[in-house]
Amino acid sequence: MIPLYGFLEGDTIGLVVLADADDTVAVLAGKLQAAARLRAAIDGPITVLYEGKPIDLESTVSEIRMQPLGRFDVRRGPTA
Amino acid sequence: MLATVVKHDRRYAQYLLDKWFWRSWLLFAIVTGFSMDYLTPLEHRQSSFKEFMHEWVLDQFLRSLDEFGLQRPWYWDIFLEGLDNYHHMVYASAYSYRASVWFNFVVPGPRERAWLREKYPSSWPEYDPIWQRITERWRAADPGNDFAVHGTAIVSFCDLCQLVLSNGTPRANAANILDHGGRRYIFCSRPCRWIFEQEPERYAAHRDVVKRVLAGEAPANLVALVQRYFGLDYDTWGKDAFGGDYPWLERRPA
Repeated sequence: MIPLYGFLEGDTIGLVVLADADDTVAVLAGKLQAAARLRAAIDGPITVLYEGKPIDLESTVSEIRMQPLGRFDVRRGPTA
Repeated sequence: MLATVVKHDRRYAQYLLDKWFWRSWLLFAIVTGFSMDYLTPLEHRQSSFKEFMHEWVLDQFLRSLDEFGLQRPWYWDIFLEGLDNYHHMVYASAYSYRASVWFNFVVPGPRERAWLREKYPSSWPEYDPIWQRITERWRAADPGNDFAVHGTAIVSFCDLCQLVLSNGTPRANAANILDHGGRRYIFCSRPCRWIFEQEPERYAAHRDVVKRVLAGEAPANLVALVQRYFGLDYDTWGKDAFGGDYPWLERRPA
């Protein structure tokens, strides 16, 4: 398990998300959305950033080489 | 005392000012911002926290800076943005993790939210949807069932101030990461990171709750963490003061 700091656009706090190396970025984003659901949600397409850069939703956590305690953001709208 | 420091080392005086104004601001915003904008009944509110800060704190503070020949802290623009946001960010976060503190919270109802919209026209539109979601959750839950309207994920904390990562705005959380001495740190804001970087040896060994959980020194389960690590129990941990049973909340019939 890889602990990551997740930030959902529209939410008020960062959450710790435990990622599996085989999780796709889309699955990771879903974990954050589920954890933040009480306060915020994004309907429609999303963009995920890791350390500030957009990443492919179909790539896996290991392919992106996400490091423990790295930051990812889930934002509204499709990746440009 | 500040006059003495200024007299002997103006640069150090400026550093102390920049550091302690920020650290004081974070705590003051939580204690006073919560009280003024959320916990005081609407009919007893005389001004918003932001109005209070401008009238009673900032004017005098800026006059004092001039008097001592000191500059505004370098993060002044960040601070001013925080007047519109920080206590709202933390209150919504704390409400949804209220069992981890020792006092009760309330949901701002329609009248309170209208007041907040008037007092914070530039920022409140970002917070209103959050309270709408929390309201909907209570509407679907039984009164008094606090954990039906409560977060369960592990929240994150700043490695400097040890407060939650709730700086910035809902659109752009201001948390940022620093790798130092082979370890990774996260800070709620640029000023907290800056304070760390001035004296890393002073703060580097501190570990926040998340790192203690990850090290296996504290339980990851929220209830276990609150009970076994924070020393709270059902009688003492924070709850919704009304158990979610607000007169304005039109609960759906079962």
